[in-house]
Amino acid sequence: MERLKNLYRAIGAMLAALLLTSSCAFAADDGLVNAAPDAPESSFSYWISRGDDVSYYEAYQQNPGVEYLMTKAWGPNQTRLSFDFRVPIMGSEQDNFNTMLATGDYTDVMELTYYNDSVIELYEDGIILDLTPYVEQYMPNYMAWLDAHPDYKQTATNVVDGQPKFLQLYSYYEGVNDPWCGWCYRRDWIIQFGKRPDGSSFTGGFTKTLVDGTPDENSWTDDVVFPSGETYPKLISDWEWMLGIFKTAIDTLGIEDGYGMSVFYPGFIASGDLITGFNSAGTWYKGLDGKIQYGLTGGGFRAYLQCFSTWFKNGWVDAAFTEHTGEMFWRTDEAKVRQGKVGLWYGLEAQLLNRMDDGEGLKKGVVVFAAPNPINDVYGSASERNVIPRTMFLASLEGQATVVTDKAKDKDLAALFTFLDWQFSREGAKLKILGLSKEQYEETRNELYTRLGFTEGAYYANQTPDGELYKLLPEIEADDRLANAVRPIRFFWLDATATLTIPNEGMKADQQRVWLTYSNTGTLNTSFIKQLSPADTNLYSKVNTQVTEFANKHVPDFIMGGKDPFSDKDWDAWVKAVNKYKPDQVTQALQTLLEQLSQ
Amino acid sequence: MYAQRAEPMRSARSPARLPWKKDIKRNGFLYLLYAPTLCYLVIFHYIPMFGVAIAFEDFNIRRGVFGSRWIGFDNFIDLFTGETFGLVMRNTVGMALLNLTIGFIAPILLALVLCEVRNKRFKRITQTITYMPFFVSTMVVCQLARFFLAREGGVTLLLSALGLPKQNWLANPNLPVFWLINCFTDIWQGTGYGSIVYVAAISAVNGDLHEAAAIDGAGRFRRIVSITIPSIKPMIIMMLTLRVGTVFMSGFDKILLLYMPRTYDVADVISTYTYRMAFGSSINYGLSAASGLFQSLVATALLLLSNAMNRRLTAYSLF
Repeated sequence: MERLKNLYRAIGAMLAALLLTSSCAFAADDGLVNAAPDAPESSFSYWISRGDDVSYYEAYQQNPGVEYLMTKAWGPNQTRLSFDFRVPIMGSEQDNFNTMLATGDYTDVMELTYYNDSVIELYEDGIILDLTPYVEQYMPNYMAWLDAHPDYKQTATNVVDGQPKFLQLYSYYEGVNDPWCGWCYRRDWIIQFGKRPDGSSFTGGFTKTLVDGTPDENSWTDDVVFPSGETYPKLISDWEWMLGIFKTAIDTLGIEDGYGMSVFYPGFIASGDLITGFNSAGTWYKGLDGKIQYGLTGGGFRAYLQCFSTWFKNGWVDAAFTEHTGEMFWRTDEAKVRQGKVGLWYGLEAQLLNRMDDGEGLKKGVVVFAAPNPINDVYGSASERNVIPRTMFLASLEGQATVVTDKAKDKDLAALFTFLDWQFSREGAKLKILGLSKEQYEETRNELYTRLGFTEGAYYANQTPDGELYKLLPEIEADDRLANAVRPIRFFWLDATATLTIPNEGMKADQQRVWLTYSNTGTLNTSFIKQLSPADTNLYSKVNTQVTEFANKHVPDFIMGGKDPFSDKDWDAWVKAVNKYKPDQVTQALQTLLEQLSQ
Repeated sequence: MYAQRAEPMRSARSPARLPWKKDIKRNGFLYLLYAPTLCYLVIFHYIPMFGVAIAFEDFNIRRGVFGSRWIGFDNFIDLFTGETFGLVMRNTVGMALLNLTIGFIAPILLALVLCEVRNKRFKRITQTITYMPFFVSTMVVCQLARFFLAREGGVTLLLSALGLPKQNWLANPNLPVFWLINCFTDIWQGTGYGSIVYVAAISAVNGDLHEAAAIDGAGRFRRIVSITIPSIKPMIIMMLTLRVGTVFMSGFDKILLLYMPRTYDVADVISTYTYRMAFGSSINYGLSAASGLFQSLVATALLLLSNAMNRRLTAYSLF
């Protein structure tokens, strides 16, 4: 009998060992442990502003990455987590978020993209938790990231009663990804209609064709040189030279409704961009001296208006720019752009090189190049000239904020914060930006991956001099909706695309990177503005709304000739009118905050 | 001679009013029929009225009506002291007056004309065609307006042929261009539908009167002026009174879709102005509620005033 028992024990031990071995053979090397069948469970509701295409799955918890993570054990108690993601209908995000807060039926975890008021008020109202102890105890990866990025660490906390507290967690980018929009210009028109100072013409074109007979975009060469001596339009004087060529092109081609440059309907882009080359911005920004400044009343903005009014007088810009309301600045009068009637515009990466050329009419032979924000070398005084652009729409490392509410206070927060912290580990970032590996797929046999045939995982790896880097499978890379659906990118994340993936190659990628010529060091991040006290947040909001409205109404007057930016009288009247809204009070509040955070 | 003095609309009260208990007992079934309507009115129209308190609060959606800070008339002061509030009021009143005059008369004229059409088939087809725009969404109407009034649009080309400058009329910042555009798009969309009630009223006019007048030698125009219009006068007064009450508050969606920063000074009305101020960088429910309350009070005052004036001047009134 004893022998039989020993035999059973031996067989049991062998089976356990076999099971363990087989588990290890399939276990993904991501440092995660499968939750035991009898593991404690904790469930969290989580509000995210966007979900994925319902043709892939109905609820976000069915996302392959989320499903995988829900099989793992988290925190000191090795808890199995489950999430109930709530996603508003597209277009009703703000209403949905407000209703959630107003009715008290908010979730355990919430993305704060649609919250515009003071986050300190949320804390004081008892709606969100102070995350400080959890972050310090359970989020070493998140803290390590902040330690490595002191600028962002400064604004990752909010000061409550004199003490810095983590009230929200920010998603971040490891580096600036290839941008999706920026200044675009017609390189083919410069070759066709431009002249060198000696009167000779430029040459250029595609040297190879693809199998289908279309030009190979990577084979473009030309000998264009701008007046600055650069091969791209670096200075405002380069832009003026280029706009002159575009006017010639439009006149020569007889494009009656064409124009040299499209302009966003208020006459400026508030984030900075074109204004930044004049040492200013369209709103509050951090000046060269490190102090907060307000852009619309500064000399830089006046120089910008002088420039644009001159361009308008020269017939270089869209005479009807004020009519394109309701269009985003990266899609201004897009129909005309795509018809090949515009020379310079703020556009999309999908318009670069020969992508707009369908061989018909004015679109035939279109070649679009990217341009960085130009540096002013023509207008205003010395302080407004030759200043490196530093406030722009793209190129911040900061993403959305996430909070944990009082609804979650009795749940296993240690497990939740361990889970959130893992998103900031290398393996977590990999899962986020690349989806499931082969091993991770084999652990879960995810239905979507099986259905779509991604049984080897969603990406591949290459050894490079920088170490092992990764790339999504081409069929996933080519389809944005699919790429979003196979990766868990909709909640708290570290986007490590810049450090983990094989960089895109070719002329298009090179052109996209032209938009990153300058770093965004002057823009005030959302996390900084969210540090304002509730009273100052209200002041900021009120002044910003009123002054933006005033500027949207009256800046076109300066450009179109109703007022003269070269006239001191008109400019002084403008400054006086803007100052009536007291933007200086907001400047002072932001400056005080900046000094507090710098201490 | 042909006009017939119509009776005031106010119904005569029953000579002997019953005590309410007896009345309920006697007409219990009628009260039962009315009960759902009463419940609807109380639940959805009267109880929510306590929300007007928001207009006097620094309303915070998380704290609710009872938890938000009471700030008295600060929201109203914010509203009235806005830099462009004067222009906004001028535009609101201007567009309201246009809608009350040209806009109000158009359905009456259409109804009078339709009722004079002898070919019934033609009349029905015309009626159907004129009703149809009412069922077109505001978004589509605005898109059509943008299309026709653009630099190369059909209306613009027509106006150019008449010697007016070729331009995008919606971007014209001069008065009263936008007001007229707003008024005529309203007329295009609402005249057919608005004429239904007048066509019905005209159909109810005693035919003997027309016959007698015709025998006496009155022409069509004379009969319209002396019989038809006086006969439908109570209806006109009722519609006018109702319209006065709403005219101040209408047009928000269309104006929001048609205006642009360049035309704010001539197109902005209270509701669009409030929308921008209250839903800018962050949401200011208090300001929005104050504006709504202000407009409601003005509308109610206008309604009462219009009713009183009508009673005094024409002996007809709604209540």
